[in-house]
Formats: sequence, structure tokens, C-alpha cells
Amino acid sequence: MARHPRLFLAGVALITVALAPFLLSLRTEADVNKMLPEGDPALRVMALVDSEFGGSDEVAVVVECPDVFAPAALHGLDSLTAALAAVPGVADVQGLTTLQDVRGQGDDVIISNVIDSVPSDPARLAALRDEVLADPRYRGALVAADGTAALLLARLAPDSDKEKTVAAIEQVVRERAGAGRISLSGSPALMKFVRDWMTADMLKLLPLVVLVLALVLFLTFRSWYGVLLPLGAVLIALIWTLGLMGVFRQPITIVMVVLPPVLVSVGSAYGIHIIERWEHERRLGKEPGSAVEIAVGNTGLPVFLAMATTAAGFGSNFLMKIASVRAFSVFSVIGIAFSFVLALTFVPAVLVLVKRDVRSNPAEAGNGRKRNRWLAGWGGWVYRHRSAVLLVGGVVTMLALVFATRVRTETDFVRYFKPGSQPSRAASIVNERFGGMMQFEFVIDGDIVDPDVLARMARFQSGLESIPHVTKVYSIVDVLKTTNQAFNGGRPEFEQLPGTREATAQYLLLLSFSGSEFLSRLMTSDYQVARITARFDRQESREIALAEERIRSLMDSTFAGSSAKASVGGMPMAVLALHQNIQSSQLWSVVTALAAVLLLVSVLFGSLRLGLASLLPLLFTLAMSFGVMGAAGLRVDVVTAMLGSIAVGIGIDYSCHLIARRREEQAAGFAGEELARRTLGSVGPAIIANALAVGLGFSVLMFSSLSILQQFGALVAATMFYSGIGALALLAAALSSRAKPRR
Amino acid sequence: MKRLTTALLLVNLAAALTGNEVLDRVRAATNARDREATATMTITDKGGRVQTRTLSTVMKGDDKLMMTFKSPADLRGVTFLTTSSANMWIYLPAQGRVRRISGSAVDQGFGGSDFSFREISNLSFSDNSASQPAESTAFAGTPAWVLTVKDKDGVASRMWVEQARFVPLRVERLGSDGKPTKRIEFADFASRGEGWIPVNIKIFDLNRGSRTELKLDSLKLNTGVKDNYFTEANMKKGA
Repeated sequence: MARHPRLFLAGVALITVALAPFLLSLRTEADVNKMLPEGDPALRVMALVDSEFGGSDEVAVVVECPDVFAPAALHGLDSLTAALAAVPGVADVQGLTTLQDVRGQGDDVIISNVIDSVPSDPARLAALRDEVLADPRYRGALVAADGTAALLLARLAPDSDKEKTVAAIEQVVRERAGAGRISLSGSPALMKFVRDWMTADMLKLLPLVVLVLALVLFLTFRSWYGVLLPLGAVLIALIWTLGLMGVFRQPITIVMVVLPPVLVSVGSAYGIHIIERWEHERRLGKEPGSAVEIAVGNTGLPVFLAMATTAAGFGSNFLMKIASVRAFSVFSVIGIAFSFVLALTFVPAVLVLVKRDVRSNPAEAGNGRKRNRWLAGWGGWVYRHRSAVLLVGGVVTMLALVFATRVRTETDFVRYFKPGSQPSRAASIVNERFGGMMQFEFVIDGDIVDPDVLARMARFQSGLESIPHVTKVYSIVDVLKTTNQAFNGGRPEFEQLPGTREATAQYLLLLSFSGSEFLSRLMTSDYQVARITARFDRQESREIALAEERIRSLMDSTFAGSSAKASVGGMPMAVLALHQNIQSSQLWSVVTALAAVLLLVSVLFGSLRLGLASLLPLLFTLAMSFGVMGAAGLRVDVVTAMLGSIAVGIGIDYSCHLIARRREEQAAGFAGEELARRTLGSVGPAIIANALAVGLGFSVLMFSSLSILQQFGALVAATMFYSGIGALALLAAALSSRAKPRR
Repeated sequence: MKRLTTALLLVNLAAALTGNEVLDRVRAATNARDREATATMTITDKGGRVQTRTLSTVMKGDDKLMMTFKSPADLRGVTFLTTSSANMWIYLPAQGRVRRISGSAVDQGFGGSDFSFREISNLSFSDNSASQPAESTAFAGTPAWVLTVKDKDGVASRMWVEQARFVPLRVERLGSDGKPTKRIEFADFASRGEGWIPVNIKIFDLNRGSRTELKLDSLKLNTGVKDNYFTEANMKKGA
């Protein structure tokens, strides 16, 4: 490389030019369902609901106004409903003005819309208001109990382009800005908001992280190459990685948004260490070419080890059963490998060509510079107080672990958004005033017109209604009860299921007069599969987990011994599946990362003792990270689930550099306090620069529009602080306890 | 020479007929005072599930219709009766009662099929009119008229009519955006006197992806069905 730098640079340019065009084919993806592994039971039920019942993806349009039953408001609702129904991709719209009802009046069975036309007569309006608000099917489902808000549910066709459809719905809503306060909720809308905000974040955060890194690099090196080379290397690595994502059509998910800050901040470290060493050698009077050879030769191993351990940490996320985390795991490892390759090719190739004279100053090349002197002093202090340092570290770790036990998993996707934001507010309104944003889907497979199956469904529904937070349970059972009552003159005692399969089949035939579309949303045309829906007025996965336990028990007891089988799905189950996948695999991913790190460090340094010592700062870091989360009441979500393995993967770098440098100094014959002083005095600044670069790089995520990324950024930034302390204090103290010169 | 003469005649007709004139000829060709038939209705939903129902029908004019289900067993005896667009009754043998059915949402579908009640009872398009002239075209190689008609509720349809016999070949119901929502295909015309009655009617719901085929198995026309046949008492006898 020292002989053919231009050849290396040409190769890098060629690959970059080849991969850059694929950046244009990158797309975003925020569907919670896509995070689950294929074959997840929650997905199977949702696929069945999509294929048999026209899907369950609904955009909730909340209209707030002083009085929903005012003629102008009702006309506005009707017109909004028609406009939404006309949006391509919207299969149908459920609202006050589209609801059909079956009523009995004497010998007449009346099948009509709840509101056929908006009455102008105040008395009829008042009667309509009373009638609708008295009916539990509408009150708190499509109109708020106090009549000041209405809900329209726009169901999206399963084969529609959901993002385009939601965008068109947003446009319809914008055009009616004057008709009360209108806000959107429901999972398709929330997913669209996440995608929009993710895209905005990508465009905003990348320049910010580059700026922060440039500042850190300038403060570290105070040279153009010290700033531009590590930056250039990671930006090229980023282009390669994102380009590959484009080649493999891998979408950018909420998890993948953190990839650019990760690569820029983590990947820059490799270049930092090479340049730091190159400058060191230049100050000793070496020529640029030979300085490069020494820098790559001596720093190559620790940089490789740092890369390999970081890759192991990030790669261990592949054990998580969440598709987007797995994809992040693969591409982060690829990106880290690219950064390493570029740090060892692109950076040295340019350094060979650097014409600027680095002042030869052997004194400064050692521990002569102020920051080096300060850190050498720190190394001496740690050596002298190594037992106290280890004791304090141990106590702090134990204390942190106490708080860490309080950490809980939470995959509620409304928490992606900041409290008070429009999506968060709309979700609260739907949860509090309309029975819930998320819907459980139950699929009953069997002879549905069999009176026994219908009776079990009715019992199951009653049981569901008694489970906290389960609301608005609905199925063909309710329709049949209403129809039976209607056919029998509207008498309340007939609000029950028909007693025979003939009566059931005949009622279903009667109902087909109003078009079989609404029946097809509740059961298949051959009466072999039925659907029960139930809203859930909370979105927290821990609440869903509590409800799910009772639901499964109820399902088992109700359908035991029946020919019909019941299964459960829906958005709450998808959120819960994420929750369970994180819970079951997060610990394993961290343990795997630690084991991989132990193996790599032990093998490459040829010492199990060093391998075990390198785990000390990591255990401290993990305890601190989760301890702070526990103390602050923060939850592990789909992004912070990666915190542990990322902390291991990045944090180990500092230990690797410290151990490598220490062995170098030991080989030079130093021992005891002098060894500790020389080690920290020489490698300390690079470790601090590295930790600063990574910590500040991640901290730009705090400027994200999404709450979930803000938290992650702050947590990883803090993690880098713990890792730095862990390496510069705990590891240094641990290594000092048995330090012999190596010849 | 004979073919040329026929072709010239068709060209002349093409220039001469308005949409309403074509509709009048269709009504004349397909109408009957009364009809009796047994029918097989095959409903295929979007997922390919098939349900077969057999029923007997008695019609008089465009208003009076009684239909009784013969199978499947759990629907046997269910009878619909209509004597005008505002008067519809249903008899459910499981309840042993007749009820009048009404309301704005009635007439969206019939018996779980893709037909609306009106589509099944008004095969002569009596309440349709065509404001635009008919255009001459070819339908599957057959000379045909194509015209846009509207029913009394303003719902527009495109209709293809065979030029030789004035029988409908295809009707497409159009949505408010002008795109077809349903397609009805007529085939296997049975000759009855001067008229031609389609004995195979297929309807496709293009939005739902389902289809229904109605086959008339035995068809009797103009047998002199009396008005007093269409009563509640006869509904209950249907089984």
C-alpha cells in the first residue's frame, strides 16, 4: 500500500461509484408486522383476516367538534365519509352515516342506515342523538359518549399501497381543515407517520453526526487529514453499506435509522487509531510511507480486534427474533467491516501521499503532550489505588444491578412518538373515548351455523367483555341476536341467538338483502370461518400480556370439546409477539456478544486472563446502562433491545486498544507504575477521542423526531461514557494487579 | 349478395336507431306477461368457495315475483315475494312467519348472491332509459349496439345488445367514477314465440371479486299466472 497508494484509492473510488446509485432505490418500512419472524402465529391469523375478511388495517379518523349531532357537523361527517370512501385503496368507511341497522317494527323488518338523511327538524335531531347515544353499539364506538367527537374507520384493502392510501386520506383531511379538529390514528396511519419522520430524521441526523464527528476529530488531531480521513472512510463505508441495502432491497426500518450514526461514529474509531499512531511515528521522525507501515503493522491487530469484537456485538443481535433487528445486525456488521477495510486501505493510502510535514518531536511523541501527560498521571494514580478503584467499581456495579432488575420490556409503538405529538394525542383520544385503537382478531374455524358453536362464541364474547381493557366485542352473534329481535317485532326478550341451524341460515339469507359485504366481514360465505373482533383500550405490551393470558385461558375453556377451533391475532398480538421475542432473545444476544468477545480477545492476545479482564469494563457498562434505565423508568423497546449487545461491541474496543498498547509497553521492558503511566499516557487520548466520537455521534439521535430514537441515542451516548471509564479505570486497575515486564 | 344486403341493412339500422329505440326493442324481445322457472344459482366468492342453491321462480310483469328456495336443506321453503318496488316480504319456515322487509339498505343483494333484487327481477330493463344514441360495434365478433343507459335512480350502465335479435349480451354497471362495478353476461337464449329469454346469466362483482351464475332449468312463459297467486298464503306453501 505504501508503494501503490493511488491504486488503492482508485479501487475505493470504483466500488463507491458502483454502489452509490443503489442509494436511490432505498425505501422505508415501518409496519410492525414486518418486524415479526415469518410464521409467527399473530401473522398467520392476520393473513387469514386479510384473505377471508377483507383485512383489518383501519385508519381511525377522529373528528372533534362541539356537537356531532348539529346538522352542519352531520353533513360534514357525511361528506368526509364519502370523500374517504372515494380514496383509492380504501375498501370501505364505517361511521355514523354509513352504519346499517336491522330493526323490528310490528310486522316489518327494517334494514336501513342508522342515519339515512340528516334531519333538519330539531326534535328529530334530538331523537336521533338520544337513540344513537343510548345504543352501546355506537356510543363510545363511533361517537363519543358526550357527543363531542366522532370516529370514522377507513378500512384499507389488503392489496392497497397503504402509505399512498394514508397520504391520500391525509390530503382529504387537510382539505377539510375547517370542519372541526380532525386527526388520524390507527396502525396504518401511525406507520405512515413513523416512515415520514424516519425519512426526515435520516436527512437531518446524518449531517449532524458528521458535523459532531468533524468537531471531535478536529479537537483531537487539529489537522485536515485528521478530520477528513476518518470521516471520508466512514462516509464511503456508509455509501457501500446503504448501497448494498439498495441492491438487496432491504428497507430502512425504525431500527435501521440508527445505522448511519452507528457507522459514522463507530467506524471512525479505526481511522482515529491509525492516524494517531501515524502521527506518533512521524513525530519520531519516520517518513510518511514507513510511518504508515508501522501504524498499520502495530495498530492493525488491535484495530482488527476492535472491529471483530464490535462486529460480534452487533452480530449477536441476529439472535433476536425481530426481522428488522436481524437486518440491522447483518448490515451493521457489513458496515463495520467496510469501515475497517477502509481504515486500513483508504486512510493509509492517503497518509502516504500527505505532503504536510509533521514536526519531528520525540518528546511529544511519547507522553510529552499535555493530554498525554494528564492521562499518564491518571494511569499512575489508578496503579497506586488499584484495589480501591476495583472496589468502588464493584460496589457501583452491584448498586446499578439492583436498579437494572426494574427494567421492563415495552413494545407499545405509540411510544415511538413524543408525548403530546399529534399521533400520540390521537391515539389517546381513540383509546379513551372510542374503546381503543388496537383490535384483537379471533378466528373461529368450524360449522358456524351450528347452534352449539354460536352459543360458545356468545359465551366467549361475554367472557372477553369481562377482561380489563377489552371493549366493543363484535361478531355475527350480535348480528343474529339483533335480527332475531327485529324479526320478532323488536321485543327485547328475543335478543338472543336463534335456536336452530335452519333459523340461523334463514336469518343470514334475510340479511343478505342489505348486500353480503358486511356479512363477509364477519364470516365466510360457506359459514365455515367466523371472526370476532374486540378493541383494546391500552397499547402497552405489558397490559396486552396480562389480557392475553386470560384470553387464552378463556378460549381454551370455551371451545374445549367443540368441533370449532379458535385462534387469536390482531395488532395487540403483533405488539405482544415483539415484546415476547425481545424478552426471550435479548439476554441471549448479550451473553453471546460477551462470549464472542471473550473468545476473540483470549485467542488474539493468547491469554484467557486478558479475555476475562476485558469483560470487567463491559459488565460495569451493562450494569450501569440497565441500572440507569431502571432508575429512570425507561423500557426496553425494539431499538433499545440492542443496547446491551451494542454496548459490548463498542465498549470492548477501548479494552482492546488498552491491552494491546500495554503489551507493547511491556515488551519494551516497562513495568509497574511506569507501565501503567506509559499505557494510559499513549493510548488514553485515542480512547477518549474514540469514546467521545461514538458517544457524541449517538447523542445526535437525541435530535430525532421520534421519542424511541431519542432515548436510544442518550442511552448509547451514556454507555460510551461508562465504557471509557471502565477501560481507563477498572481494566487499567485490574491489569495493574499482575504486571510483569515481558521481554 | 345476401350477406352484403344484410350488412347494408345493419349499417342503415345503425344510423337510424337511438338508444331508447334499442332499449324498446330489447324490452319487446325479452319481455313476457309471466314466467315460471326453476333455477340453479351458483355463487362463487373471492376465495373460490362455491355455494349452490336451487329455487323456483314465478314472475308476472316487472313487479310481481315470488321465489322459493328448494335447496340447501336449511333454506328449503324460504320464500321472497315482491309486488312492487316498495313491497317485499319474506317467509322464514324456521320462524313460521311472514315479515315485510323495508328500509333504505334493502335491495343491495339477493340470497347471498351478487344480484340485487332488482337485477334478478327486472331483466327487461323496464326502468332504464338511454339519452345518448346507440353506437354500432362488434361484441365477440357479433354485430352489436352499445349504449349508455340510466335507471330511475340515475345509476348508469353500459349495455351491449345483439343487433340481429335485440337481446342483451353484456351490461356493465358503472360507479360514480365511470368505472365498471359489476358485469352481467347473458348467454344461451331460449326462443319463446317472438322473444328470446336468456337462460344463463352470470354476474361478476368487480369490487368484491365474486361471481354468481343463474341458470334457468325449465322455463315456461305466458302460462296465465293470476295476480292473486302472489299472496302470503302461497308463500307459506312454497316448501
